[in-house]
Amino acid sequence: MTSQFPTHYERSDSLWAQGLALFAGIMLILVGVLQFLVGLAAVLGDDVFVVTRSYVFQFDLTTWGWICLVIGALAALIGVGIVLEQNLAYVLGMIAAIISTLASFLFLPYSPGWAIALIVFNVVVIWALAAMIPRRV
Amino acid sequence: MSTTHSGHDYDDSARGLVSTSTTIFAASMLAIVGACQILQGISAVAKDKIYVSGINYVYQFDVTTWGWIHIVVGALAIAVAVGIIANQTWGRIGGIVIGVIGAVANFMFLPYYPFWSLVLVGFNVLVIWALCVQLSSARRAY
Repeated sequence: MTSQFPTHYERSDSLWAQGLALFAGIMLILVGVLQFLVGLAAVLGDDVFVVTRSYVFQFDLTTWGWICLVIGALAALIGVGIVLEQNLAYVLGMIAAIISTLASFLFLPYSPGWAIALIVFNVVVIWALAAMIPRRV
Repeated sequence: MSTTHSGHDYDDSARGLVSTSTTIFAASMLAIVGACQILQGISAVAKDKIYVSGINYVYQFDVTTWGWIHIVVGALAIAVAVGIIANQTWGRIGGIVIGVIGAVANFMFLPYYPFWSLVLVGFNVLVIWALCVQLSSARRAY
């Protein structure tokens, strides 16, 4: 039994990083679904969003909603690819998480709580992919 | 103790320690999430005034319905946490599923009371991470 454990040759820091593909994939799916739901709420013109004063990145709320819908749908699909351990999806996932972070950051004045949660989720995805990519690709 | 009944003696290798500590961490965090979510739900069902009310919102339901959703999800989370401590595979997979459900439910509940939701969403992410590490270290060890 113990002979099956190659533990002497593994450093514990790499053990903590195992399961990261699954984690990164699930988190990116979660980011995608949540961003999609936020986008849907924005397109339907909910009152939960703050009506902002003059803002460079203003677009109207509907435009922002569609941006969130598209980014969210793509992120969720790429997340499925990561769970299935596709090498291409790792790199695409990193790009999707970065784009989603930027979009959430600019969207923050409209709904601070959701934007902060999405930004944190994306950072978690970026961390997991960054820890994993050197081991896999 | 709890590790002996699954067929091997206590494993003090690095892998065993990671596996054991992530199990305990995931179960504790999930139990906390479940308890907080039940309390949050009770507060919503009891129509506390702390919640922002009267907003026009797609995921609106009324606060009472949200309260019951939280109570059910919270109770399931505690049940799954017991499964994780008991070293059941269904506990680990169920924990990831309930972690995702809890994160989505709290995220959509955020407009009613942002701070509780942000805390619980963060806790759910920790549960998902610990269980992912746990699942892969268990899978490779056997």
